[in-house]
Amino acid sequence: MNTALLRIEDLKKYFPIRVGLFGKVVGYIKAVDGVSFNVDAGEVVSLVGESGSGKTTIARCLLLLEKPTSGKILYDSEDITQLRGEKLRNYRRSVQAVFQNPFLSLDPRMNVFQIISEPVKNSMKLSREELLEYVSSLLELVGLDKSFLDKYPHELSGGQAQRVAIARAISLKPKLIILDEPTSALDVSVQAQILNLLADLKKELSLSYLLITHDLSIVKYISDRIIIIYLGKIMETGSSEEIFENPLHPYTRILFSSIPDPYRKFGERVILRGEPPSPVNPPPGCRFHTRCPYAIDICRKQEPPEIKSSLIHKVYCWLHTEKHSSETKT
Amino acid sequence: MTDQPILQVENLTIDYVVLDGIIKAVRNVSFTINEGEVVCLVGESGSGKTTVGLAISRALPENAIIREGRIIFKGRDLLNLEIRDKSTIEDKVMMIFQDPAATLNPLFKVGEIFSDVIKHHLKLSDQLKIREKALEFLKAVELPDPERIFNSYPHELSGGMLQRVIIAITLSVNPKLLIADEPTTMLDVTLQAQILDLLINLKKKFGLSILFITHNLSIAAEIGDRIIVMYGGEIVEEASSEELLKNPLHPYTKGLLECIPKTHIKYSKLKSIPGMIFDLRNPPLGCVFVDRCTEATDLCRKDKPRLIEFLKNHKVACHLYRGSTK
Ligand SMILES: Nc1ncnc2c1ncn2[C@@H]1O[C@H](COP(=O)(O)OP(=O)(O)OP(=O)(O)O)[C@@H](O)[C@H]1O
Ligand SMILES: Nc1ncnc2c1ncn2[C@@H]1O[C@H](COP(=O)(O)OP(=O)(O)OP(=O)(O)O)[C@@H](O)[C@H]1O
Ligand SMILES: [Mg+2]
Ligand SMILES: [Mg+2]
Repeated sequence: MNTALLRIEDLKKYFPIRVGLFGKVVGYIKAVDGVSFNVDAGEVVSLVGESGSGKTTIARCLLLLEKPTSGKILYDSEDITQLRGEKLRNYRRSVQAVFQNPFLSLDPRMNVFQIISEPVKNSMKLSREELLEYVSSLLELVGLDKSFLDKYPHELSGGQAQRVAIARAISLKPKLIILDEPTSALDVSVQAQILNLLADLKKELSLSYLLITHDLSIVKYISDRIIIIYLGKIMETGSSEEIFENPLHPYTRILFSSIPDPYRKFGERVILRGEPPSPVNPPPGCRFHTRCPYAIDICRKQEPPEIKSSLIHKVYCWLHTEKHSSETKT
Repeated sequence: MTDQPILQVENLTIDYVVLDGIIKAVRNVSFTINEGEVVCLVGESGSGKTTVGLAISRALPENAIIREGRIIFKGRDLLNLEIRDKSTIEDKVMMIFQDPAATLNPLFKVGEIFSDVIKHHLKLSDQLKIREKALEFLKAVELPDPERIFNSYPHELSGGMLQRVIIAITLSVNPKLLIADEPTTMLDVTLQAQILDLLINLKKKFGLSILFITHNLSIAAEIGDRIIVMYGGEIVEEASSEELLKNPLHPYTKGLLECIPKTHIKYSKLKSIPGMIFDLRNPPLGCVFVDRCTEATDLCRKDKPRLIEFLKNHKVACHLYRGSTK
């Protein structure tokens, strides 16, 4: 049986909206509003949703860059907000991140050797030679040769810079890497290279990934499980096969339809109209009802229940309840 | 759509002068855009797409030098215009960019920016009329609540809304040719689909011709009538979208198509194009793609393949396709 490496329970993150001199709180941006999921050891879980759905905020909570408003994040069964001393250091080593824009996450004044060796220097006792050898071996793992050691970020292409960021992320032998839109700043051909690299590294180093993206097309190949999130709440979750072969939530289906497909002509797809509503006052009932082409009365009033289609395939949608399924057969 | 070219680019060759040399960004590029047509310029980062777009809208940076070529817009050579003709042309070719936030001055409200443009281009002075015109265009780009948007600062709007605002402002000067440089690359997939849909509707409504620049062949195939594939500053293939997808000839185009993750196939490995683009200070003597091509031969290294019409209306620059079968 798999053990949950990471367990997120009813996570909420509200950002206060303050006005005036004394910063009076007039409301809250409900960026993450009650999200629960696991990442098992060796598993790749993808978190997919539109801009503003709360994906990065979840990542920032995991990286201890934001404090959750409520809910729990358990790593190896321990609450990460309670970790101190060696346990905290251990957590910080075990959970690493790679972000969308490699150039923003690499210090332009450091060369590649310095960038990768920086975290290593502080936590592994290595001689200068050992360090050089270790960094070179990391570069080799990400498909770059030694000639890159003394290059600076501005001398790298987008794909090469992302490889360096990945090398740095794996340098401390982490268990989990959070990949926040790791390929969306890259060309399609380079994107494929990086996804292949990530898949290889995962196998070789038995890593877990939490892959964050708005683009469903890149997740199938690499994910074990997919979580579809909208305005801070989970809409649907299931195995990669289940989500791709039998998407149940209207939102998931529309996300699929938004993927550009070279073999389809424009106009043959459903286009999601309008912008996502404000996370300050999310719509009552199902949050997606304001943009859902199939919304029925109850969707506007009551939060949808969890409907299980299989052991792990769950959808939060009134259209899939027994009672209402008759209304939808049109 | 007619077969009357609105734009003819001939042998365009552009260098950038930099401290340590000369970047040969665009070499011998020729193509046409017909009236009402959407032509997509596709290629990976650094292939020279933006440089071509900037040259047509005559907005190249100062260190760019046009070595050779002609850009003929509605019968007039844009590169040899009298100063006094320039502003009239400017209205007719407009360009929009990837980052909508960087395009609008953050200190001014959308309404103020918009009014300025309309005042200047449509020679209107009546404030009410100007406002009415602006709201009309904000509505045309399907923005909800145009009044509120008119009174908003750029930072109060999302990326998708900003890109619509820019499209509205651009359309208000009544352009004939719109150059859209990766206008959806910063947006997520649902907004991207919305903006593409909008551009296609506007094209029909306003009779625009569009040069759409993207690195994403899927997008090009969906919205383009014709696709031009660039690599390392040169055109390697050109055909109608259907033809290019059905029958890609150039190994680079084939590679690009294979890179696209297909949602209905489970992979063990995604296809990619190994390697990277050459240093543009030293373009190869022969074929531009030779370093990354699995089918390259000695000939490809020595001799540059010319862009030939190998099949009817389907051009390719590759030694695998010798002679014309036309
Ligand atoms: N520090 C903050 N203060 C206030 N609001 C914030 C803060 N960080 C995020 N938000 C808001 O929280 C919501 C979720 O943002 P988040 O960055 O998590 O979304 P995302 O899914 O990562 O989107 P994207 O795809 O654009 O990266 C948004 O409405 C955002 O504006
Ligand atoms: N102002 C400039 N000065 C010097 N070199 C430049 C300048 N602008 C672009 N270049 C170089 O010219 C080449 C072509 O750049 P261009 O921006 O036209 O490519 P592109 O196809 O639009 O790429 P991208 O997909 O990254 O936007 C690149 O090597 C680029 O680094
Ligand atoms: Mg984000
Ligand atoms: Mg460009």
